[in-house]
Formats: sequence, C-alpha cells, structure tokens
Amino acid sequence: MSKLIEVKDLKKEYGNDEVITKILHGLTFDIDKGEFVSIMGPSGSGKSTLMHILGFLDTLSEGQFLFEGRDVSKLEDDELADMRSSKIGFVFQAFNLLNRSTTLENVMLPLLYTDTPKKERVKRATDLLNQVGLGHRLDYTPNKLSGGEKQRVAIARALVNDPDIIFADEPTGNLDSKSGLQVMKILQDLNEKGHSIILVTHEKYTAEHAKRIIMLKDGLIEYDQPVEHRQIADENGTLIK
Amino acid sequence: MNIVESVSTSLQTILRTKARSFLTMLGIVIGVMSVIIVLSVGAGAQSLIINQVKSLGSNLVGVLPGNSEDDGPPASAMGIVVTTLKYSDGQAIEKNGCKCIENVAMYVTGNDTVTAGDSNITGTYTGTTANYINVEDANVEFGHFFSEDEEKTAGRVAVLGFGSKDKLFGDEDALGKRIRIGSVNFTVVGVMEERGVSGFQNQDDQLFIPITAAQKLLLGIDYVNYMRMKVDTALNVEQAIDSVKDILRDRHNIATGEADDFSVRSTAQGLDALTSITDALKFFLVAIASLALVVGGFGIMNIMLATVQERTQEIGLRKAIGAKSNQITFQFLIESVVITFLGGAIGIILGALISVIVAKFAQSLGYSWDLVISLNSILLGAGVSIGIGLIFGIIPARRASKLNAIEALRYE
Ligand SMILES: Nc1ncnc2c1ncn2[C@@H]1O[C@H](COP(=O)(O)OP(=O)(O)OP(=O)(O)O)[C@@H](O)[C@H]1O
Ligand SMILES: [Mg+2]
Repeated sequence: MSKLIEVKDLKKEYGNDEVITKILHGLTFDIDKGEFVSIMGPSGSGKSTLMHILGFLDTLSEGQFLFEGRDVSKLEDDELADMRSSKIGFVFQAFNLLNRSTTLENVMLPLLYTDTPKKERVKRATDLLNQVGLGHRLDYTPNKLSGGEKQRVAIARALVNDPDIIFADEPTGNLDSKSGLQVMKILQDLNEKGHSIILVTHEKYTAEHAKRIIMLKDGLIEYDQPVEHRQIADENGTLIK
Repeated sequence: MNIVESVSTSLQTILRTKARSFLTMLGIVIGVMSVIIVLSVGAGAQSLIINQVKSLGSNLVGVLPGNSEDDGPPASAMGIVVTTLKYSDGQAIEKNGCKCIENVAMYVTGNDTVTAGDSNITGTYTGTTANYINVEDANVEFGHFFSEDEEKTAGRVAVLGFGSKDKLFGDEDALGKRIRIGSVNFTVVGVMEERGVSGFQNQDDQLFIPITAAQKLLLGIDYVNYMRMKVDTALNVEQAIDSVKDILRDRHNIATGEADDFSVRSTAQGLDALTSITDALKFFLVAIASLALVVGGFGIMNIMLATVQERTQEIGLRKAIGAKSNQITFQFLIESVVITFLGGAIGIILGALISVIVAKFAQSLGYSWDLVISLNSILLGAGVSIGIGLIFGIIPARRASKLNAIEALRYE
C-alpha cells in the first residue's frame, strides 16, 4: 500500500520568547492509504494539536512531515488550502458550525471553495444529510439542533467534498452510546469504501473501532499497534469480531 | 463561489442584522445624499442665474468702467466706484460707433425715499436713457416712457414699475401724479408692464427717471454706472465690441499698449464668466459634502473591523475547510461594498427626492429654476460609494484573511 503520511521526529511547541510550552516531543510514524487509525491519549496530550498539523491547519516546530511524498513545510498557503479543500474532511471537536446558517448551508460550506455548481452542491449536501438521518432538518440553524444532530451535521460537512482522508476529533464525545455507534458505523462504512480515517479519542472502546491505535503520552508515542479485538458498529449495537 | 453568490450571501448577512447595517450605512447615505442635493440645487441655482442673463438676449453688449481680466469680473461689479465712464461717451458711441449698434442705454442707480401723497417707500431708482425700453425689450402699460428730450434736459418725469405703482398708488391712477424722490419732485408719465420675477430681482419694483436728472438733481455725479447696447444681430457683436473699444480709448486718451480703463462684454462672455464662477462654487460645496462621505467611510471601517473580530471563528472555519486568503478578502470586501453601495443607492434616492422638492418649491414661487439631476451625479454617487466600500473595506478584509485558522477556531 502507498504511504499517505510519513512523520519523522515531529516536534511542536507553543509560545513566545518568554514562555515556551513543549507539546509534542518527537513523533515518528507512517500511515498508509485506506488505514483507519485511532489517536489516543489523556486530555492535553496533544491529540488535537497533532490532528491539526496532519490536516495542514497548524505548522510543526521541528521534524519532517510528508504527505503523499511531498514535504508539507515547502507548500504555499494556497496549495495547503487547495489540499484541505479537495483531500481532507474535518470533524472538529467543538463542531464549529456556523450558527447563523442553516444545516444545509453548513454542509455546503466546503463546496463554496471548489468549483462545484450550486445545484450540485445542494444535491450532495442534501443526500449526505439524508444519509446521516437529518433530511428533515435542512433549514434548521444549529442552535435548534441537539448535540448528536450537530455532530452528524459536522460529519456530513466533512464528507461533502468526498475527501480521501477524514480527520474526526472526538466525534462521539458528546453523544449517548446509541448515537455514538451510529457515528462509528458511518466512519467504518466510509473506511470500507476506501477512505482513510484518523480518529482522535480518549476512550479505549471507541478507539477499538479503528484498525490501529497510536497512543500518546507526555508528548511521545507510548505504543503504536493494530487493534486485536476490533469493535464493529451496526444499527443494533457493536459486535466484537 | 461567483460574484453573484457572494453578493447575495452578503445581502443575507446584512439583512440578518438590519439595524446595525443601517447605522453602518448612515454616513454614506448622508454623504451621497448631500452630494446629490448640492449638485442638483447648485445646477438649479446656476440655471436661474443663467436663464436671467439669457433672457436679456444674445445680442447685448455691456460696458462697465474699469479694466478687468477677460473672464473675471471688473472692479465696478464688486462695488468699487470707478468714474471713468461718462454720459458723453455713450452719446459718442451712438453717433460714431458701428452702424450695427442700434441703441445705447446708460444707467446710474441710487437709493432714496420715494413719497407719493401719504405713502412712502425706500426704493431703488434707475436713471437711464430714453431708449432703455428698446434695449431691454420693456413695454409701457399706461402713459409713455420719457422722451429723449426729457433725458437730455434732466426732465423731472418718472416712469414707475408695475409693483412700485401698486405700492405708491394702489388702485388709483398714477399718470400725471406727483412723487418725490428725496426732496425732488417728479411727475409720473408712465407705468411699466408687469414683468414678474426674473432671477433674484423683482423687475416690477423699479422706478425710472432721466439719467441726467438722477446725476444732477439726486446723486451729484457726472459719470454713469454702466451702459448696455443692442446690436442688430448676434453675428455683429464682435464688431460692435471693437468699435466701442476704439471710440472709448480715443476719448479717454489711452495710448497704444496701455490697458483699457473700461470693460466691454457681450452676454455670451458674461455667461461664461458666470458659469465659471458658479461652477467653482458648486465644486466647493461638493467638496464639503464629500467630507461626510469620508467620515462615513471611517464608520464603515470601524464596524467592519468589529465584524471581523466577531466572526473570527467563522473565518477560521472557512479557512480550515479550504478557503484561500484571497477568497476571505474578497468575501469581506464584497460585504463592505454591498453595504456602501446600498447606502449610496438610498442616498441617491433621498437626494433626488429633496432636489425635486426644492425645485418644485422654487418653481411655485415663480423662479425659472430647472430641475437638474444629471446622470453624471448619480453615477458619481454610485461610483464614490462603491469606491469607499473598497477603500475602507480593504483593511478589515485583509485582517480577516490573515487570521490563523487554528487560532481562529480556538477563539471563543
Ligand atoms: N495556541 C496555544 N498556545 C499554547 N498552548 C497551547 C495552544 N494550543 C494548545 N495548547 C496546549 O497544548 C496542549 C495540547 O492541546 P490539545 O488541544 O492538542 O490537547 P488534546 O490532547 O486534544 O486534549 P483534549 O483531549 O482535552 O481535547 C494543551 O495543554 C493546550 O493547553
Ligand atoms: Mg482535543
């Protein structure tokens, strides 16, 4: 399988001249196309930070990050924007929906920055909202939606540009176990269809829906191994394979 | 996202916050409105002045004492007394000037109490020559204008304007009655036809007496304030001017190379001078009105900066899902341009409405006031408001586009 992501001795620190906070102390790992990886770790261990770097939103302080063999630090801002627009779908930890726009508009948003015609945008967004079971909430604004519904809108938005790779930051964090399973089912189905998925979570159970777990601790990789007993979500619950 | 969509998205944003958007545009509304009003009312006032001069006819030549630049007003027009122009100068022009000069009228003016029986008014009287009515195309309603004889011999006769007659005699017959100007008695020999308001001056409140009577009996002067002459056709105006200059230079002993001590102007030249003066005035007023636009522009910038601050999260999200910096810049620029353009449109409509009201009001008072709302001033208003949106929108838009996506996403 071809390499999607190659990370060598990645370090990240925040701060100005006075205070420097070191978050990631040197991570090395590869992710292939089509993989389903969970990034785990306690709160504050830098999971979101890592995800933002891998999604071209943040820059690394030291080390190397190759995406499809290209050195990301050498890419222009506009190229990065293009990659985010065409290859990546984000589900943010805080949803980050636009509160003054409708559900449909929120899901269409990433397509605004591609050259998809308006009709096609509406169709794709509507289809996806139907798939996540929100076909009857198209013209709701997010503040009228429940937490689980918001989460599903955020997922629909991440999928609308048919991305190669999906980053999901705690996508089940705010959900009851049933809605959480629905979300995991969507992600597993997408992975079956060939999308690479990187899931950030601090729950072992959720993480075990992936095929591989990278565990962060104190800014380093504690372990990086395949999931032995993979959980498979379906409509009625989770089966251990 | 194409421009049509961007505009409709901005319109939605603006409609969602109606009150704030309106306050944002207020400066532009007022600025554009003032510019439109100033341009229109300025053009109306200009038309009023110019119509008055035009109504005198295009074949008139005026002579004023004192030298002047070609397109500037002569000193005498600014209230400085120059005494170089004499009654005999006019007579000489009439006798020896170009055949194309049909009539030469001369004028002096003064102010004094005018009494008739019990009524008295403080009025302006004009001492003029008998051919005043030919030069000015005026008509006598009752009686007759004074004769050339009376003009030359300082006859104590007076011709009343329609309004003066009304004020002094009411409905009574005025012909043959006596009036007193200052302490000199005159006999009324004629009453002029009603002429109505022309320009800023009510032609009917006039009172005419022979020029020599005014000079000798009332004013004690030997010069005239100005002359007006009628040329047979407009084509001969240049020739007439040359002949007047020749005669006056000769009579005033002005050596070759020395400047004239008088100014000869045709109505056309006068119009040019008037137009350039009123144009300058209009320009000045527009410049003042434009200040409001600049103030409005800073208002827009201020609010757009606040908007960017408020929408930090939205901007971060847009960047995170693939918006390029210049797409963000574009979005915010379009937003400020849409706001200023809407403001401009409202300003144009209000300005035009007020201009119409002013014009109708002036016309109802009998002034020959043209309603001028030029396409140019509308285009100017629209163009300037778009320009202000661009100029004052660029800083907030750039600031928005420079936001770091991840910091913006974390911003609460
Ligand atoms: N801009 C910043 N400046 C300084 N420190 C930062 C900044 N952004 C994040 N941090 C710090 O980096 C650390 C890692 O943050 P991050 O959001 O990646 O944690 P996380 O593993 O996702 O935690 P959680 O499970 O709670 O979401 C935190 O301690 C946080 O305070
Ligand atoms: Mg996190």
